[in-house]
Formats: sequence, C-alpha cells, structure tokens
Amino acid sequence: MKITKVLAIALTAMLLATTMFGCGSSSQSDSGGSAGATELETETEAEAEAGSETTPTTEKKSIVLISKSYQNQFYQAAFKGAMDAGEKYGFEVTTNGPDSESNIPQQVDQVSAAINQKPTAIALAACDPESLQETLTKAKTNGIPVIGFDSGVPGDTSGAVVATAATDNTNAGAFVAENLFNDPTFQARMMEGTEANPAILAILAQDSTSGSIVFRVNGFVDKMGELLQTLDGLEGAVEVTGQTIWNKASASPAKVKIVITVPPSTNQADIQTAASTMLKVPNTVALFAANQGAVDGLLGATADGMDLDRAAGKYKDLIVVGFDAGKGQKEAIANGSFFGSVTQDPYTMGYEAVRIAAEIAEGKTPADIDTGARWYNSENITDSEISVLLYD
Amino acid sequence: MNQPSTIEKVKSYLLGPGLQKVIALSALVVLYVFFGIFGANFFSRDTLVSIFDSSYYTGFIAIGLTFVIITSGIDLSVGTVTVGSALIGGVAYNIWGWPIGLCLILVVLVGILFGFFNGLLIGKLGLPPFIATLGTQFMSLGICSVVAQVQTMRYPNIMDDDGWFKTVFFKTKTGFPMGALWLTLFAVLAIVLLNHTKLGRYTFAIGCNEEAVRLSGIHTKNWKILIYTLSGFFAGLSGIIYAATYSAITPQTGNGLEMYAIAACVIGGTSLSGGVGSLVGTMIGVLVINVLKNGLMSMSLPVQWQQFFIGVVVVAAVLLDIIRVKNAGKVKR
Repeated sequence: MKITKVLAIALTAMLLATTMFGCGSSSQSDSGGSAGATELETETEAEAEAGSETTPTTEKKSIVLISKSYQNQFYQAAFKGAMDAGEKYGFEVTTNGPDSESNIPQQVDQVSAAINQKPTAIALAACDPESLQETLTKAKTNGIPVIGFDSGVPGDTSGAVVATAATDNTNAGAFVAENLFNDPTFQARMMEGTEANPAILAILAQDSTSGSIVFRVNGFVDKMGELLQTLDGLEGAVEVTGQTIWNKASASPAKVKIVITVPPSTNQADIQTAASTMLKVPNTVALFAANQGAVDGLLGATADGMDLDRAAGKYKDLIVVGFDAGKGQKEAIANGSFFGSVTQDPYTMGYEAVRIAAEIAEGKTPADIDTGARWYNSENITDSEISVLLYD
Repeated sequence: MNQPSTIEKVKSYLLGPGLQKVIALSALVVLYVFFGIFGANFFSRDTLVSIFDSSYYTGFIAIGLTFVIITSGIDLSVGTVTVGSALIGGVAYNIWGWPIGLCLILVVLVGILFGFFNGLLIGKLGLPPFIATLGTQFMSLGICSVVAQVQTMRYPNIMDDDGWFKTVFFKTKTGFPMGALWLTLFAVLAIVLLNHTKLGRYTFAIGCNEEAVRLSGIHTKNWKILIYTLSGFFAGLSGIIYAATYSAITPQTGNGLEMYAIAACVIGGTSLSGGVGSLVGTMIGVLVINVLKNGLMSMSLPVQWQQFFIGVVVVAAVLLDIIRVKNAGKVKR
C-alpha cells in the first residue's frame, strides 16, 4: 500500500512542481517548462530533434481555426476558404470546434489547447467572449495573435485579438429589417395591431451570448423599431420583450410587440421546439430566424417548410425572413415560402482569416475586413453573384 | 517461519491489490510520453497547467463518485447537479443579488440536496441506483434551468471585485493553481474518511455484501443515504470549481460530465461490482482522462476523437477489472 502511494504522490508532486516552478513564463517550446523528472527532460530533447513543426523558430507557419461549432455547414464553408488560403500562403491549417455552440467550456478548453500548440496564429469565432477572456490573455502573453472571424470576439479586453474578418452583423441585421419593412403587406398588418391585440413580430435567435447573434438581433431590433414607429399610429407603441438583454418597454401601451425567443440550447431539437411554440402565438405577422440553425429549426417545425407554402400552407400568411443559407433555406427562398434572407460570405471569412495571419507573419499591421452581406429572395437567388455565396 | 521480505511484500502487493494502480500509473506515463512525441508542444508548462486546470471539477465529482461506486451503486446525476448547482448559484448572484460567498454556499447546499434526494430514493425507497440517479439527472437538468429561466448565468471575472472567488478556488493572478490545492486537500480528507472511519469501512462492507451487513444489525439504509449525500456534496463543490473555471454557466448542460468521472474511477481501480476502490487510483484516473483529453487536442484531432478514445479507455479499464476479479478467485499454488 505504502510504496504505490509514495510513488503516486511523488509523481503527482513532480508534475505539480513543474507547473508551479517551471521555467518562468517561457513561450518557447524548446525551453519547455519540464524542469522536473529527468525522463521528461530527455524526451523534450528527443521531441525537439524529431523536428516538431510548431517551434516558432522553424519556417512552417500554422494556424488553428476554432469555430462556434464543428458540424455547422456554415463553418465547413469557412474552413474550406481557410484551407484554400492555407495552400496559397503556405500555412498549415488545423480546424476545431465544440460539439455544440452551447458547449462553452469545451471551446475554452480547445482554445487553451490550441495556444499550447504554439501556432503562428489562432482564428476564433467565440461562443461566449467573456468566458474566453482569461484564455485570450494567455494567448497575448504567449505572443500568439488571435484573428476573429464570423462572430469574432467582440468586447475583447485582453488585447489578443488583432483583427477580425466578419460580417458587420449590426448592419446585416438592420439590412434584414429594412428589406422586411419594404413589404407593403407587412406594413399593413403591423398597422392593424391594437393595444388589446398587438401585432407580433417574432425573432428566433439561437443564443444570446455570441457576438454575431447579439449584434445581428440588436441591429434588426433597433432598425425595425425605428422604422415601425414611422408608421401611422405606431409612434411610441413598439415594445421589445423576451430576453433581458434586448428588452425595451414602449412609451405608450404597445400595439406592436417584437418578441425574441432563445431556445435552451443550440441543438436542433430544442430550436425546433421553440419554433413550434412561437408559431402558435396568435397574431404573429412575421418571423425572423436569425441564423441558419434557427432557420433549420423553423423548417423542421413547419414540416420542412410545407406549412409555409403561400397557397395552401398552414402558415401561409406568415412572413418569414432568414439569415445565412443552407439547402433547406435556399429551397424555401426559391419557392417563395420565405420572403427573403440575408446571406454572409463564410468562405471569404475563412480565407481572409488566413490571409490576415499571413500579413501578421510578414510583420504588417492587419485591418478589419467586413466580408459583407447580401439580400436574396426568389427573384435574385439564381444570379451568379448571389448563388456563389450560398453554400449548401 | 520466515517473514516475507519487504521486496516480496511489495511484489505481492503490486501484483495483487495494487495492480490496477500500477497499471493506471503506467498508462499515465505512457500516454504522457506518447502525446509528447506525437502532439504539438505537449511537454510544456502551459500544457501541464491546462491538464490540471481541466481536471479539478472532474476530480471533485470523482471523489464523491468513488464512495458510491464502492458500494456497488452509481450516481449518474453528478454531472448535471454540478452544472445545475452552479447555475442556481449564478441566479442567486445575478438575480437575487446575494453576495458571492453566500452564493457559493448555496451551490454546495444544492448539491447536498440532490445527493440527499438520491439517498432517499436509493436507500430508503430501494430504487436501483441507475434508474434513480438517471431520474435525478433529468430532474436537476430541468429544475435548475427553470429557476434560471433558461438564461445563461455569469459568475464574476477575475478582474471584478467579486472575482476573488476565482483567485481562491481556481487560480491566483500569478498563475498558482489553487484548484489543485483544494482538490488535494479534499482528496486527503476523503482518503481519511474512506480508510479510517466507520463510513469508509461500511462503504466497503456494503459494496462487498450488503445483505450480510444489514443482517449484522447495521442500518445500511441510513449509511447509503449518507454516502449519496456525500456524492452530492462533492458535486456541489465541483460546481464551485466549475464556475470558477468557466464563468458562464449554460442551462441544460452538464449531461456527460459524470461519464468522465466514472471513467476516472474505473481506470483507477474502483470496481463497478463494488467492494473495491481507492481514491489514489481515482486521482490517477482523473489525470489519465485529462492527459488523454489534452493530448488528443494537441494532436489537432477533433473533439469527437476524444469521446471515442475515452470510451476505448473505459472499456479497457473495465476489462482489466474483470480479469483481475477472475484471477483473484482462482486458487493460487
């Protein structure tokens, strides 16, 4: 009993000692903090000799891209852009992401592990920027630049984020609002709202923590609130409810309510359930599904979009606007079930993230890139400049 | 009669009851070296820190779980109770405006509550532990999300005034791993509890032959209630560490954390059939799991491989356990 215990405690103590008193704040892998056991020291030398490709002193550049979730097609498109740029600029591209966008701790662990690999740069779409602050400080201390893409890392106080390649989501959200507002049917139905029976504009947002969603919904809500109040009789009568961060009371009793729903998690089952509940709310005039996940959930809740059919569907009068692309959404737009959507350019986001890393490696100071947003509906979905942005 | 020499004593221990621990230790060293060779920059202080950082909350859960598994029970609710209790603590801090210290006490109390509830179901009402704790898992997942109105709760950052709890429970501003200190402290306390108190003795006894213990006049029901409450207590402690490590607590998560802890216990030699177990082994198991997690990440393998390999390791550990039990039953020459 005693000997094994001693061995176990000794090993743990050695590992602990290495952590606490290891070689200062080394950011070089060859000086590696393994000041402890001798067996570890010889292994470090062997590893350095084996030509590990991540010691900063060698020529090979590497970048780790961490998205908000690994399976999402949006990010697969971004990764493709990154891989292509990697070939062009001589970067070894590794990708990773948590198993769901709600799994914040997993992403924190992944970013931390990525920093330990000492890449040339890290590209990150943060699920929750606040949770990553300490990890990002570690990146800064280790001299690894962080490039935001897609959601990026808004509100970063660590100083690790040097540039962002993303859609200006506030503008993109406002853009959706403008296009939706231009529909005369929408305006007419909104004006029919009364204090007793307010008109409902529903928003399905997959989370209330990640930058892209928060800014997008902000942009939409602010713009739509502003535009609706220009309509006859609606001044001061627009209320926003549903999620603490977006709530805004109306000056006079509300005739129009913008209701935001965030499902308990980002997995499809939960989003679909939330969408089903939202559809049953009476007097819902329009619905904005704020990203592809939300759109897929909505389509799932409407029998793959059949209930939204303009001629015979259960919800034929519901005006739906979406965001991003994806096979289901493209079909819904093409057949008119969706009024229209705004698409981003994920391929360019991934591409630009790596290109920015190349700029940094050359010693230049990179600038933020707005990768843009385009409105598309059944009329222009086949135009070449739109279709090239729409991933499956 | 000759007294067996020290070497023979050590040998017979290492090949007998200590075998699983030796295997676990060797596995730890082998894995560490393997990832050092094939991973990117694995032999660094930063990686070691990462390994330890992610192991604290699993470690706490595993301590409580060791007791439960030794009684040949299981507690599937520890993962969701960890996150759920942290969530309720977050509600207390953000919505009810409680001071952070009180919130942390609440986190532990919630853990104890769920543990006690498990104890009642299993000890008093006699439900099979698997079903009872599975039920509690869903109940805690749901009720804690309801209390939080399904909103993500945040704990203060290390920079905030109330961020002292992070410095105390997780890591100081200079990087000293406080979490490791707390885990070691509680592990030592638990070792004393397991090996030198009535609770520990009865834990093993109930695991070996519950009926015999009951027939000898001991209130096994009450002891089981206590053991599951202890598991809940450690889940609550784990909730504090979880909050200190990750800050943002998302409702409806935590499902699956218990699997890492159960894997750690099994790797460390705690038999799922009960009656055998060791906290030292569990701690080694926790390190093995975390070296695996971090090592796979350093090899740039997507997180799904992590899940696969942890499963492989658990199956291997259970197989070894079965072989060991079979061999122990054989007549020795």
